[in-house]
Amino acid sequence: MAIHIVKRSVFVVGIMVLGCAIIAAATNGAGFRLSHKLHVETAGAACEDCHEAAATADASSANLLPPVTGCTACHDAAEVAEYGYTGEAAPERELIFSHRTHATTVGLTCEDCHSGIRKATEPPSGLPEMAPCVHCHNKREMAGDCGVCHSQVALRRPGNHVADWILDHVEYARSDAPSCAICHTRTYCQECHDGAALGLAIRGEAGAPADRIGPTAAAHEGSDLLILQRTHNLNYIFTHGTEVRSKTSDCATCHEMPSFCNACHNPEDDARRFRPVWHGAPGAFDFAHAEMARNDIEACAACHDVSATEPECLRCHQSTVSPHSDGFMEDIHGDWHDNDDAVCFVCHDNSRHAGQGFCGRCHGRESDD
Amino acid sequence: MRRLAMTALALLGGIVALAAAEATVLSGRVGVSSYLWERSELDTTETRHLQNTGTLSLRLARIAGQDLCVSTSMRGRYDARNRGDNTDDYRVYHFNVRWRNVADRVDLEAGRHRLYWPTGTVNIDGGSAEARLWRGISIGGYYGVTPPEDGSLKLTEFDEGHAYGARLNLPKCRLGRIIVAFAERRGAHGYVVDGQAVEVNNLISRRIGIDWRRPIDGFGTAYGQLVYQIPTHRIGRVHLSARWRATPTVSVHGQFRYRRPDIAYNSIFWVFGPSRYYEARLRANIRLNPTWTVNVGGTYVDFVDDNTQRFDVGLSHRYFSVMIHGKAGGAGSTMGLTGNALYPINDRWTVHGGARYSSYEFGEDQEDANWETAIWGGARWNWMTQSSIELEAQFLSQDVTTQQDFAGNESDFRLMARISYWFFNRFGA
Repeated sequence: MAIHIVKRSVFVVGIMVLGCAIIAAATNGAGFRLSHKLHVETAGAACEDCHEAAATADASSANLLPPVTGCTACHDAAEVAEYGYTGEAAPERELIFSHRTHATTVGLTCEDCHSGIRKATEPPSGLPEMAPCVHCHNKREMAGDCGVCHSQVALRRPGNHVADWILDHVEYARSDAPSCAICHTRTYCQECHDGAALGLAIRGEAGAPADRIGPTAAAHEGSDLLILQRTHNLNYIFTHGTEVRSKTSDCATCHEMPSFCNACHNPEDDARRFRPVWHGAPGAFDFAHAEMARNDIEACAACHDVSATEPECLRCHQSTVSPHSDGFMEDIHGDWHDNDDAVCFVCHDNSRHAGQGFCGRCHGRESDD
Repeated sequence: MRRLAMTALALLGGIVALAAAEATVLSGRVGVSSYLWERSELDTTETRHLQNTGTLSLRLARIAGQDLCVSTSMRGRYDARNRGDNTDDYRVYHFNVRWRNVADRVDLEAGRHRLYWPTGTVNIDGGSAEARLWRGISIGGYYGVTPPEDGSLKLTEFDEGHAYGARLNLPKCRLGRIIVAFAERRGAHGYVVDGQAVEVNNLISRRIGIDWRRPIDGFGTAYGQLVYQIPTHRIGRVHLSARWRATPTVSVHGQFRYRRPDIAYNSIFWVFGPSRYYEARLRANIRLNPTWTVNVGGTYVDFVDDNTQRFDVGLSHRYFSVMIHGKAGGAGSTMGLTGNALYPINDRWTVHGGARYSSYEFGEDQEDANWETAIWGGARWNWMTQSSIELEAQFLSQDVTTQQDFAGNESDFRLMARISYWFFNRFGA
């Protein structure tokens, strides 16, 4: 199986890289070159001399790029033709934006948003950065919802939100939270990180779209590059076991592990719940559980570490089979010295006297005298 | 429900009382959704569900012209077809007052809120504060009880669950940005199954966490995280990551993780098994042009007695993406293909859809690979700037067989509808 996967991967990667190279070659092209600095600072032109409609346009789709006639007001037609400028088509814009409102009603200048444009020697490569927008659209001065400006919020993703973003975002969120807050509220984080809530939200209906509140949650494990607002795929409830067992993801990041698994897997008094498949058939308990416990003790604890019930492990381990490896905690001053409720006393006798019981294993021996 | 109504009324009263204050801002979002699906509870029993969900988030900011904000976020849901099964679920995610830049130095927050610190995330009903000292250095702390698992506004008894912690933030260290934190959390973790509270053992965790991030000129960024579990004298987690911007369009990301099971030291399970997991990931992201991107990634996970390898290769365009993903090793093999598309017809209408197919082999003795597939499609209508209506249909099918029968249909058709609305209003000057 593994060999087949590798072969198929190499084949697919090859095809994709070839296709991408062709696409990249076909879509690359040289652009028109223009220096704003030369026009504004040297020639003394004002913004509206070339961008005549800028102050009155109400739609982002309006073509504010200068027509050829705007150039020929100063330049010879032949000179313009030599540069190859024939008038640019309006770039595709999905923004909800009115230059008129911002320039006339609010009273902003061009450079308030197009920062540094007067000094630019190359045409801007795209829209201005969002920082000047967010300066006012911060949910305090003006509405800060993404939908205020973006008609297609679902298509807007920062460049770093690539395929495995859901695994990577912690690196940014902990050290760069202010930039996250431009698009996301704290509620958005909590939709995943409030593990207790997830225990109820997803049980039985993994991937339910009704759980989707935020705009652009990344996909689980990068298996869906563009998928929106869904962490697990729709059939995840049927296949999650293989990911849990193979440790391909850290479920505890979002889910409250001691309780989340138990909500479905605890079979007591409810036939609708499921024992994990690696338990084997009911009643067919065998010693494979030792391997499972070594690999995945968290999964064991998720169901069996319930108060008011004796952990099943103790049925055998307390009296017959020691769970401890050689030298277990022998170099540690454990909390059993100070805490009568220490977990050790679930199995061991808390004698509190040297030479007796559990305490006597170390204290009160002849070598200690 | 009664508590939720009282909360909403109290909040509304506060809003009305403060609405006349200087330059106060009220913003929020309301969402209502319905999800209809069918599910096999047992081999012979099928139930239909209509889950209705309502969400509300409110934020009252700039109260009295200060950087003072009251915010809340809550959700209510119930199954309209199965009301007798205690499926009602109402919870308040957060409900707090936040006052920032007090004396230009201190941020204060009180109420239900969540903190994301190097020691892990924690949700408290309590208070937190952070003071900025000099050169960007800040210290902070929090103290509170842990909210009830059912999300109600009831305050937990201190002995049943509480948490506290502190952190030191050094943003301009010679080594980069470093955050050191300490946290203790103890309490009886509980959860609710069909309306019945179930309590897990009273668990204690006490940790020190360190976060480090450094931009490196000409390279990219480096990140590290370490969590040390104090009672057990063990390192619980190590996370090292390096992101290399090879060219303006090619980035390579390497990551190493080490993790021990997150078992409280006073749990009986702590004494079993010295489990640990290592994970190494390498990923390349190639932006061919502003429209097309290719990504290739591979991961190796090592755990006691076994290991797992996985890979993915994807191609994404502005409007669609295709990805092949596979896994081999422990717990079986999988191979899948996922495609997604989202296309804006115009400023008001967006259509989306996708399909997924994966095959599974859970063990060597399995004769035929299992499979699962899903197809979905829908549309979103932004009929006004503040509001949208969304519809989605889903078809699921699966043939996953194990030693036991899974509940759930072999195939399932589901429908979802959702309306959301956001608002923003300024009061006063």
